[in-house]
Amino acid sequence: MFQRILSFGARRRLASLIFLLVCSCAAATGLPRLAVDTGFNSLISDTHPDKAVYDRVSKEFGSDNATIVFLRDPELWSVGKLAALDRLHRRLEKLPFVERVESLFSLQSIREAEGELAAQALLPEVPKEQAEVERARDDALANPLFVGNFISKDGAATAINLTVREDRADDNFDRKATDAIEAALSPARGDFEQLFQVGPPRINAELKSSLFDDLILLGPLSTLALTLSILLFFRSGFAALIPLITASLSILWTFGMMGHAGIPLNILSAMLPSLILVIGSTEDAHMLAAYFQGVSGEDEEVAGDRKKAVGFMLRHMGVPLVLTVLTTGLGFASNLFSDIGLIRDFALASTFAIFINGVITLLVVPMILATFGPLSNKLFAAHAKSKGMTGALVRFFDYAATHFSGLTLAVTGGLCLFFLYFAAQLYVTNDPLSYFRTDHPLVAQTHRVHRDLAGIKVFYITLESDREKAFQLPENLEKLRKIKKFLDSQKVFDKSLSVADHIGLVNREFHGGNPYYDRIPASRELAAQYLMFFHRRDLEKVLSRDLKRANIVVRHNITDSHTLNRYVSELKKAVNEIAGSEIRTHVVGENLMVNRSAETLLVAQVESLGLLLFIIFLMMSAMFTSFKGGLIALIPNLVPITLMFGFMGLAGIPLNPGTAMVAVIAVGIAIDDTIHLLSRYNELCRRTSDYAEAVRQTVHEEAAPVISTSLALVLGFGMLLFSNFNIVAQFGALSAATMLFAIISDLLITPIIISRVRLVGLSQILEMDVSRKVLEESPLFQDMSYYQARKAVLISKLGEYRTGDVLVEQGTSGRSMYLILSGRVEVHRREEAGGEGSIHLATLESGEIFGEIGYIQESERTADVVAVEPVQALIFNYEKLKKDLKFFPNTVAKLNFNISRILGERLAEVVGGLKANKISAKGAWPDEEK
Amino acid sequence: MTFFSHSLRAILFLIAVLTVVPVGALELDGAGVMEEVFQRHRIAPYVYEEQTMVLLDGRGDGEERTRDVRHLRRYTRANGDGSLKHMMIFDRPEEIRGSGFLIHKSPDGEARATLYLPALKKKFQSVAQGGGRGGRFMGTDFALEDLVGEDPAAFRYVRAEDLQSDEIDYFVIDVFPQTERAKRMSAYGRRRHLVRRDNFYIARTDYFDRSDRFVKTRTHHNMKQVKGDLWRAESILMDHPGANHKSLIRVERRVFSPAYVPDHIFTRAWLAQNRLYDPDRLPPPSPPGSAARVPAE
Repeated sequence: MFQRILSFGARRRLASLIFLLVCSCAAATGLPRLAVDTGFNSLISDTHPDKAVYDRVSKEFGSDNATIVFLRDPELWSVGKLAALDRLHRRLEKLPFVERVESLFSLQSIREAEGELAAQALLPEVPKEQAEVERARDDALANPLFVGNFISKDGAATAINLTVREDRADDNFDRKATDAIEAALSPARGDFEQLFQVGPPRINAELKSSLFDDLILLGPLSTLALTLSILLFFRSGFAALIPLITASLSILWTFGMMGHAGIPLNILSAMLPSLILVIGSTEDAHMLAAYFQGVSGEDEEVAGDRKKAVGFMLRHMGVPLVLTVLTTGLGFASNLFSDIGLIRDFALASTFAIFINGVITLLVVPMILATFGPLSNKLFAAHAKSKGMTGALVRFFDYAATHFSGLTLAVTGGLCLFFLYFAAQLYVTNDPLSYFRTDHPLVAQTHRVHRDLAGIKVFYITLESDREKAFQLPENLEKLRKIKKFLDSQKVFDKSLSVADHIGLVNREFHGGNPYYDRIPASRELAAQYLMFFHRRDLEKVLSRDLKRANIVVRHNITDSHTLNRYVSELKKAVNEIAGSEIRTHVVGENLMVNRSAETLLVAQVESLGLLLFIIFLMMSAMFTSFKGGLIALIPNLVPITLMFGFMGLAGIPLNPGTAMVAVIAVGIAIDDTIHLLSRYNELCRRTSDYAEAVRQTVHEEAAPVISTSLALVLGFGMLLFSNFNIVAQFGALSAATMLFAIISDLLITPIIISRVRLVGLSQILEMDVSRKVLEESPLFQDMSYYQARKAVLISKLGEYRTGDVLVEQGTSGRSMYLILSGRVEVHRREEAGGEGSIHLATLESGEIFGEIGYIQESERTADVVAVEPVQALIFNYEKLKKDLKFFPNTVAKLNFNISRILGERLAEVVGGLKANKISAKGAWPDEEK
Repeated sequence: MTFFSHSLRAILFLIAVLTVVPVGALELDGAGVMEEVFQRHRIAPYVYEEQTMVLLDGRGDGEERTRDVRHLRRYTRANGDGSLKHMMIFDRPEEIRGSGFLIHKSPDGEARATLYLPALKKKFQSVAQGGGRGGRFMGTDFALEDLVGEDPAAFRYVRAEDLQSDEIDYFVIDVFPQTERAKRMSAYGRRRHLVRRDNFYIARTDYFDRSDRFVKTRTHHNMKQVKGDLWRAESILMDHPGANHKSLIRVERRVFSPAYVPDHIFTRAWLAQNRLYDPDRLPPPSPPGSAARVPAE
């Protein structure tokens, strides 16, 4: 049944083709609906406790996201430059999406000079004389509300703050806004030494444009990497074509589904085409290798026949393919529960992509190969041992595993401990600017604004009181000053602004500009009277209309989420203490929530990884019918992840939305090779009692596909280094490194571990073609469940014999016992050794056993057992079962018990026979009983 | 008969013309219109007003928009020599009670402004002339120059194309600073008055900066005919779209009487000592023969 499902693509080619075409057309209709999301909301946890407060605070005090137009020129304070600044201000005002423009030309200055208080526009118009310019410059530099926000301390740089009315219904709003602002800046480019814009529209627009660049660049690069890998390992252009077809269909279906389901494309899902090409191709490569082995292999029945080769391929690769698709898909799916929309959307899309790629591969590859598949491949013409670099690696691993297994494990353990130490130094960041490469102009320009003015990142400290006009009260205003002092003492935040600064400024100017009076007045009345000097516009970011809530605007440039969160946590504590019990406090900001989500990244990473490892453990335990098997499958995959986290800590690569996914995705992919290795090892173990040899042979046979697919993955992930995004490049580099670690772990650590175990695959049990009657009726399996009997069968070795083959030769010694599964054998006893005459003792059929005495005690065989028709028999070797006793104690114990019973019955029969003087020679079959 | 009938026809025609078209209106230039405006509605020499000032910001709707309500008294006294004295004293809210502004405008247009904040304990603060160019009077959308009237001689009035809106005809007059002082002191490069043709009352003024860019609009509402040709608006709204903010002045009570604005009160000392509103003392007893009192709405 299972094989019939797997072979559907080969058996029903037309139906498969129609299905693929219909689904592709349906997917294509979803493409126009595919949206792109580079907004910051997808970086914020949906369940963030501050979200509701933030929404309320930002509604009251305005958004914390302002677009800044930065200008720098040593001659800024000259008539000509100010005229250019004024023209720029006016051009920006005319932009339809700009709600408010704040520049030197809109600021209200309060200053006492020559006994008169002037509360007026800092620059009501472009000055006509330099003296006016100097006066305005002095006023600006004397105003603490302006310095750092609108003008640099040296006066050479200034900012124009734009409040932008976002049109979220327009997908291209950010690009249009950025371009429109650029167009407004363009005529002034020659007027200032530096002139640029920074802020959400530009960041979003740059993210979007880099995302499209990534889509355009990474897809072809990955295609190139994939084609090269396939050509290198298969030397077949046809083979290179197949993964491209399956990947293209998978990409189309995935993006179509995203369009229909409303899952937006984000900076992570922009790498989906590359991931599908790279990860999907590994399954294609395994299938192609199996096909070529079949069509060019030693089996004459299969060789040269496409359909039979496809059947061969599906028999050998079907189950591992389904399992690996499942584990890889689980790797991606483990991020589905992330609180961060960016990761969740990517997890949805990528999980769908992996599973759908599995379906497409199972339909397309057999369909194409059954129709057009090459009839030979020289590389697979005969079993060839690994050569070249692969061969050298295999020899090295083999040598290390054979001669230094203990040392290898100890060194690996030591390395893991070493890297664990560095893994503990991991830090987390979720700063959108850190997504860009450090050489991106936006990053450099943001640093420039930070150096000259203050960081562009903003958060709010909001104080709320139930008391009427609470923030006219000097004691409450004083609290704002204290918080400011605490902020200053932290030395990490650039600038803060509150209504206390406004009142302090007026107080100072009412006292002749004496800095001593830059403080909160003693009476509420005076504070209220000072506030009359401010227009509501001047206060809307710092004071609520009813004066019950005050807001402190804090600017900074911290990119390390952990550092920011630590200082904010410290700040929150201090703010609470300063505010006292009557005042509620909130420290909120989109920037803070984005960074706070980074903390959940770490937790989510651990949870996802734990969940995935647990699921894989259960799967592998089921697959190998023992928890030990589950554990063994995990160990080789834990090593590369430990090394990867350690490497991140060592190299200072932060945990971010990109790198956070590496571990789970890498486990999902790396487990594939472990599955292939363990499956092959199990198969080989049925043929030999020399498990060390089985391990060696497993490594020799699987090294080439493991190394080739892993190197293809390394190359494919390596292509992500060309991404425009830091986080994608880091994801690629770390994934590639983890794949390399996985090669070493799979080929060095796995063999050492599996040589100490013996596993039976569930699929082997389920697929085993043994007559139920034989298992139920054979005395060997008495009191065993059907499942246990099949497992016992698998512990044994399967022997296949042609007519005339001698299974047991008289006069030889052997410790094996046989159970006939199918066919017939005859038992003959020769009168003398080398004599020609013989007595036919018995004819045995399926379900019957022979050779049990030799199994119990090493002794000379007393008769020949010859196949009289093709025979399948299970061989239970004493030495092998002795070894297996420790691996399968229950099953082997029951087997031994049953063997003892059989021997007991035999003994009873012998005793009975002696009495009847019908004794047959020891070890021979009493044919008259049959 | 012929003479009589001709004369009669001429008289009837003249009556008809005089009825349909205000005298000389068609021929009036900007200065002429404004002269008529000033003649009809010139600042009454003695005015006492009790005002409510409502500051509205652009956020929210309805009640949520109300940010700040202040109550103040305004005293205006124009002397025969062309000098003008203004005094504004805030009565509410409580915490700003007694804060006052005193403005003396000399016949040559020179103005001196003094601010008194009671919480500063008798400290007076001279304020830069006009409150500072481009400044906003006490957090409102009015500049000081918007509140103290204008000297016609300092400005040039140019009539633009007339306008009809909501079936009301308007003269459109552009006002430009003319004297050096006016050019220096005014924040505006131009103001545009919309003067009602029917009563020569300025219904609306648009303010433009020196680069002739629109700044704000002032509109007069609830106009009342005080006496003869004299009209007054009960509400004045200054809408400052750039700041997303509006300031409304509503006159709750207005009295035209020298007794309410005696000359001696326009001093710092009086302001400091008598700033608090005393309902028992105000309004002061009206001396015989004083101007008619205009009751509040």
